Formats: sequence, structure tokens, C-alpha cells
Amino acid sequence: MTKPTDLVQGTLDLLIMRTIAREELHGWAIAQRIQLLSKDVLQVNQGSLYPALQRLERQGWIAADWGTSENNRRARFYRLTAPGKRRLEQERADWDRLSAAISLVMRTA
Amino acid sequence: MRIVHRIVPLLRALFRSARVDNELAEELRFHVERETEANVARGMSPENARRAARLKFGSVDDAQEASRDDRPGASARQIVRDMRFGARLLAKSPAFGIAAITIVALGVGAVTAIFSVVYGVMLRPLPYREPDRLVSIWTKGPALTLPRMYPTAADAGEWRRSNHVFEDIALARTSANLNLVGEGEPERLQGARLSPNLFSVLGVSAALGRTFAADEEQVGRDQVVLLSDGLWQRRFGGDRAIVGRRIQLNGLPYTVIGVMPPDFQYPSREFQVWVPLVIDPLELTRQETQNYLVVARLKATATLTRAQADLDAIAKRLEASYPLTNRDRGVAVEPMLESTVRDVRPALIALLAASSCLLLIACLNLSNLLGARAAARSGEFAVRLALGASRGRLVAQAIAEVMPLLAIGGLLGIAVATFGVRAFVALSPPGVPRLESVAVSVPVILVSLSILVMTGVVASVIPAMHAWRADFTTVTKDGGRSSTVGLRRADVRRVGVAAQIAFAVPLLVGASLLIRSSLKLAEVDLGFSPERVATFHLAVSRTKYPSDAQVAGFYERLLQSVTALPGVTHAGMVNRLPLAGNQTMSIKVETAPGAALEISAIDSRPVTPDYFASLGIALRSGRSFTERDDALGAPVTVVDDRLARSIWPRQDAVGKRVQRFDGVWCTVVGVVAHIHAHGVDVDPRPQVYWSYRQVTQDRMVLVVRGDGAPSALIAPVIQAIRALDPDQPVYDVRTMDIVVERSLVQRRLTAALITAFGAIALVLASVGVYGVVAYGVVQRMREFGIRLALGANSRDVTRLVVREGATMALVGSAVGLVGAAALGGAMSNLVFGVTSSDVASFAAGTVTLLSVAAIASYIPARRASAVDPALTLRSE
Repeated sequence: MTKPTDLVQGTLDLLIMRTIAREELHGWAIAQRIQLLSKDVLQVNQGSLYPALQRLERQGWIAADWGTSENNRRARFYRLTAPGKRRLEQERADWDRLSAAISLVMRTA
Repeated sequence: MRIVHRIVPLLRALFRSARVDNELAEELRFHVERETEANVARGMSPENARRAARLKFGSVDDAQEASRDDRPGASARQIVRDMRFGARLLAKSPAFGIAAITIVALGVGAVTAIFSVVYGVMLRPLPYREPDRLVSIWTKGPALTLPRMYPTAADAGEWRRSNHVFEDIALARTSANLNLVGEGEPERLQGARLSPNLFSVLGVSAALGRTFAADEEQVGRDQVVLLSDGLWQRRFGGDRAIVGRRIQLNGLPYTVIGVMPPDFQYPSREFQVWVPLVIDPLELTRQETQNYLVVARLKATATLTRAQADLDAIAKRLEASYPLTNRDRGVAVEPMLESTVRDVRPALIALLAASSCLLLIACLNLSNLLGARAAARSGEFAVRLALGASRGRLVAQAIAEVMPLLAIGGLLGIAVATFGVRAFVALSPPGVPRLESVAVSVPVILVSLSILVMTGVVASVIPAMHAWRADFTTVTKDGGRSSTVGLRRADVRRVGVAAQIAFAVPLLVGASLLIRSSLKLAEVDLGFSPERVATFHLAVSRTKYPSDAQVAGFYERLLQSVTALPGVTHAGMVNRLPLAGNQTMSIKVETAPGAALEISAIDSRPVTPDYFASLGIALRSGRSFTERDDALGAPVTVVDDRLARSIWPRQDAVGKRVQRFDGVWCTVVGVVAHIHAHGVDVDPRPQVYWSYRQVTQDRMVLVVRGDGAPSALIAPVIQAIRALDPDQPVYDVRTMDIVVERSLVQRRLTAALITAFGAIALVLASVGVYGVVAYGVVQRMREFGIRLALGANSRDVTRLVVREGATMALVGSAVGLVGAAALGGAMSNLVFGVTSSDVASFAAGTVTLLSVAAIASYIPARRASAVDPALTLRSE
């Protein structure tokens, strides 16, 4: 297995918002989901997950509520807010444009 | 909507910090548990699962810390937390806290107090319009022997007419005795006569009513008076209807035309009334001379240098036109503030230097104290640096921790300063000018606070900076002790202590110089005996006693009734007491028949016959005055033996002739002992006396000698005067001992303050030596244990430790002596009877400091030598 790739600054926010866009998730599940979807390439450092969650919450893009987890524990579930949805759309467009540009350069140069 | 989304969590984070922390902790705990579960599901044992989960997660605290740092308001909360921690540190070691707070309070307090006084007296602008354009003008005496004489009206008039640099020139005469009667107790008021343009020159106007009109300097229109705010409040109850009322001054009706504002205190704060200055036409023709204070306002374009040049040219012209009166007469211009503060400047500068030394000592001491504390915590600092605390964070913490200490010390310091300033003003001798403007003012507080902040920053940042210069392993391994880093830091502290001693030496030497001066002053033979003498000032009204003969007659009757009082042995009068101001004249003495020598400045006093006996001034030859030495009798004089010896050596002065200031030749009928009339400390001039019936003055001082305590004479003497004339005010009643004391009070005050500074410096410096040596002993306990175990005896160990303290003290003293020499030079005006490089004083100051330093290092040395080797070696 290759070494887990460090996440580019700022992309973690994008990934988190993307993961909770469809359903509310708690912190651990967000980390799991990112790891799973990236086929173990992206491992979220827990030390940066929670600060990122707090940052996003403070900016008003996500909101959180206490709920009951799949294993019947009290857990904090995060969901995307309306401004968060708009933000995600914008970030996603930015990302698509950026990654297309980078792969274009990588292929042709 | 957007804003609400942002603001709600921010408020939540600020106000519910603890709850946010708890929620976060719970969330993190959940994360670890969920991970553990997942690991178990993957087939790990529960124990391994938990460990793996923890490992993967990293430190819970780290995550929490990172989330917290990221939260809004984090730095403010951090500062508050650090300050709370600092306060807890203070509470934990109260001795340290008290020491540090005392140091800050004393340092800040002394400097603020002295700075307030210096600012109020020397630096604060005069309370007039554009005060930097105000200058005093003086006449310079012949051959520069008298740098400043009061100019004559004729000269001032010429300056006013011919100058090109002044907007205007105004005159003032300070000696106006005005007896106020008819409104309660008769009272003598201190008044000044002012030329009407003085108010426009100074740029002040009346608070109530008006100031003098230009034509009120003419005889007949001059019976108008301005009251000081103080007199108006005290005597007239602040009645606004006072303007236009008539009051009786010296038996004449004067119309009150105005009340001046409270800060108008020209020429000084003693003055209560002002009347117009009327200049005798004879003065303008140089047939009569009176002397005036001259103040002028420079034109906006003029400078002091140009003014001086302009007046020099006029003086040259006057010298040519009036050789009789203006030969060798120059002019000196100086800023008005300069004339006001000249006399007290040396003392204030010495005090300022002393308090600066004290502040430096306090700073060094504080940083040494904080340094020792930081050393004890160097391990903690190094660990936190290694764990990723930023340097900025450590510095910020160091500053925040020290803030409670500085705040308490600073507040106490300001309290000390306020108290100190009040005490200084209360204890000040009458000669200190502008005391009314001395207060702990805003600029002074700003300066003292910036000194305080600088002290704090220097004292707290430097110890914190040690932590990142230190090498992590050595610091944590042995807590800094016996490592090279520890030694270097100890060196810094030793240099700090040596520096404290270096700053303390000048203070102690200065104190020794002033104490020795005081002792020498006490030994001075005054030439008269002040014991058992009471003095009373009175000024008679010329309206009541128009002629000199009537004035003298009143004096004679007064002396008769006072002498008749029980307990009175002698009673005499003089126009001015010794040691209470001067009156100098220019006279001529006959050296041989037909040959005369001018003595340009001699102490001159009219006295009554029994004056010499009353003050205990010895009669050397001839006789004193009698009542027959009156206007009809031959003009006579009594001279002192200093004049007699220097002019007529090896001859009897009795029978020789002296030309009075008014040109009359008088015969010497007696020679008396020379006395210290000018000051206990200075004695520049010989003395000459006139008979009070031939030179009669309105203002006299009654000198009464009794056979018991002089204070018991006061009430009966005043009663006797009242019985003679119920309208006659008596003022400035003092025993002669107190008159002598008052003339020395400025010296005494300076000496007491500098000695107090010296004592504080001594305490601080010895605490510094003790602290560093004691700290070194604790650090080296094991070394001493080994030495003792290997056969050193306790004396060797004691010597080792004392040598450390002695080295610091010696090095510091050597450097300090250089500073002391400089301070001594600056104090040459303040010492008396010793030179400013007096060896005994330098030795006394240094030896005191060295012995105290030796004691301060001997105490910890005793502890070092009492070490039980077995115990210390095992404890490591």
C-alpha cells in the first residue's frame, strides 16, 4: 500500500462538505467515508478533522446536532446548511476547473 | 442569514467556552470508541483494538488544543488565563511576591515623586500666555562679581524706549507692606507694586473686575488694588460684590478693582495684593535709585541671543552717557523660568539622579528575582518548547504572568508617589518656587507608567528568552544546575548584582557627602546665639506715622514696653533678620585721610541700640548705638570686625569714616563680631550697621531675648504691641532657632531624601547579593557536600561562598566609584565643609555597602558550610 497522501490545504473542507452533502454524518463516519471512497488513498488525520469541522461550523457552512449513532451512542451529526450548499457548489466548480487544468498540463507538457 | 450563521457559533464559543470544551471532549471520546468497535469488528482483541484506536487518533489533548486555538477569542482568553496563572504563582510564593511588588512600588514611586516635583518646579511652563517668550532682564555688576542685580527704573525705561526686540517691558517691586485694618484682626499683607503693563506682558487678566489701567501709575490715581484669589476667599468670603468696594490699607482707602485667578502668583505664591507701581520722577533722572524686577515679552521674531545683543548695545550707550551710575553695568537676559528655578535646580537634579539610580537598581533587582524564578522553571519551559509551544507564546506568557505583579506594584508606586509629592510639598522650605504647580500630573503618570512597562518587559522577557537559548537535554536532565547553561545564566545574574552595587555606590557616597556636610554645618559658629530669642515682624503705616521721627518714636515706645515685660532681658530691632534674606549696599570707606575705597556689596542693616545684646553679637571695641544717635546727632555707624580687619589692619577702626549709600559720611563708633548673616553655609560679605534713628525703615523685626523658653515670650509681647497700637499687625513670629533651621531646611530636605534613597538602595542591593549567593548555594549543595566529604573544612566552604559575594560587590563598587565621582561633581553646590571628592565620604559609602554585601553573602555561606555531606549526596 502506498503512503497515504497528505491532503492539500483546503481540500479537506471540500471533502467534508461533499461527504455530508447527501446525509448527516458524525465525525468518525466522515473520516471512514472519505477513506472508503478514496480507496484508502486519503486518510483523514483526526487531529485536523475536528478543527476543520469546528471551522466550518463557525463559518456557518455546516451545522451539527446531537443524535444517536448506529451503535446507539450519543454522537454529533453534521449536515450541510444552505450557505454551505452554495459554497460546496462553488468549490466544486473551482476544483473541477483546477484539476482539469492540472491534468491537461501534466498530459501535454 | 449569513451573518446569523457566523455570529451564533462565535458567541457560543466566547460565552460558553467550558461547554464547548465538554462537548468537544465527548465527541472525541465517541470517535475513539467507534474506532475501537470497528477494530474489534475487524477481529482485534478489545485491548489491542483500543490501543490501535488511540494510536491512530493521536493525543486527545492535541486535537482539543488545536480546536481550541482555532476558536475565536482564543488569544484574549489565553492572556486572561496566563494572568490568572501569574496571580496564582504570586500567591504560591508570597515572599517572592512581596519582594517583587515592593521593588516595583519603591522604584516607580520614588521616581514618579521626584519627577513630579522636578516637572512642577523646573519644566512645567509658567502659567502665562506663550511663556517661552517671557524673559527676565538683570543688570550685571562690575567685573562680573554680581551676575544679577535688580535693575533701576531709569535703565529699564531706556531699555523699553530703545530696544528692537521686545513687545513690552514691565516692572515690579516686591516690597510692599500693606497693613489691612478695619475688617477684623489687623493683618499685614504681602503685596507687590506692578507696572500696569505687566498684565499684558504676562498675558493674564483678572478673574473678576479688571487689571490696572495705564494711567493708574500716576500719583493720585494709584489707590486701587487687586486681590489674590486666596485672600478674597479667606478674608472676604468670595463675595463677588467686592469689586468697587473700598478697603483700608496702611490707613488709606483703596478701591478693589479686581480679583486675580487662583493660578496668578506673581512674583511668587506668597503675594496677596497688588497695587500700581508709581515711579518717583527722581529715579528717572538717576538721582534716586530703587530696584525692580524686570520682565519682558520677546517679539515673536526675536531670539534670546538677539535680545542680549540689542540690550548690550543700549548698555554701552548708557555707560557712556551716565558714567556716574552706569560704569561697568552690563545687562543679562534669561528665560523667566530660568530666573524662577535657578536656586533649587542643583538639589532637584541631584535628587533626580539619585532616584534614577534607585530605579535602575530596582529594575536589575526585579529581573534577577524573576530570573531566579524562571531558572527554577526552565525545565518546564524547555519541555513546552520541545512539545511545540511557540517562542512568541512563551514570551507572551512571561509578560502576562508578570502583569499582576507589575499592576499591583505600579498602583502602589503611584500611591507612594502621591504620598511622596504631598510630603515633599508639605516639608518644603519656603524658598522652593512654584510648589503650587507640583502635583502627580498626567504627563508624569505617563512617564512613570512607561518606565513601569519597560521595567516589566525587560524583567520578564529576558528570563523567557533564556529558555530557547538553552539546550533541551541539559536543562531537563538536571534542571539547569551545574550545566554550562546554568553557569552562564548565573553569570548574567552576578553581573546584574554587580551593576546594582555600581548604582548604589553613588547614592551612598552622595548620602555620606551630605551627612558630613550637615555635621559640618552644625559646627559653624554663627557669631550670634539664637537660643532663647523670639522674633516678630511688623511694618508700620506711614499714614499713621508720616515722619521718620514718628516711626522711630513708635519703635522706642514699643521697645520700652517689651523690655519691661517679665522674663525679657533684651529687646532690639533690625530691618532684616540674619539668615532671612539679604540687603546689600555699596559704600565707601576712608582708608587714609582723603583716600576712599569703594566696597560694592556689603551687608547693611539699620538697628536699635540693644539689637547686638538681644542677638548676642559681641561688641569688640567702642560702643553700640544710643538713642542720641538720631537725625540731629552726628552720623554714626558700627562695623563688623571682618571689615575693620581688612580695611584698617592693626588699627582701631573706631573713629574711622564710612560713606553711607546716600553719600553721608558716618563715623565708626563701635566694632562688633562678624556674624553669618547671609547663610549658615555661605558667608560672603562684611557687615555694616546704621542707627535706626538715622536710617529709618517701615518694616522692622523685633528681636526679644528672654531668660527662659522663647516661645513663652510670644503671647505677652504681642499683647504689649496691641496695647500700644491695636491696629498694628504682627506677622512671621518665630523663635530665632527656627529662623536658623528654616535657612537650612532645603539642605536638610535634600540630605534626608538622598539618605533615604541611599538606604533603600542599600537594602535592595543587599537583597540582590543575598538572593544570588543563596541561589548559588542551593545549586551547588552537592558540590559542597563532595568538598566536605573529601576533607574540606567548613571554613573553606564559607570562604568559597563569601568570595563569590565579595567579588560581585568589589567589581560593582569599583565601577560605582566612577559614577560617584560624577555625581559628586554635580553635587558641588550642595556639599558644605567637605570637597565633593571627599575621601572620607567615598570610603564611608563604599565600606558600608561592602560590609552589608559581606553580611548578605555570609548568611548563605553559613548554610553551605553546615551541609551534611551524606545527606546531600544521597538526595541526588
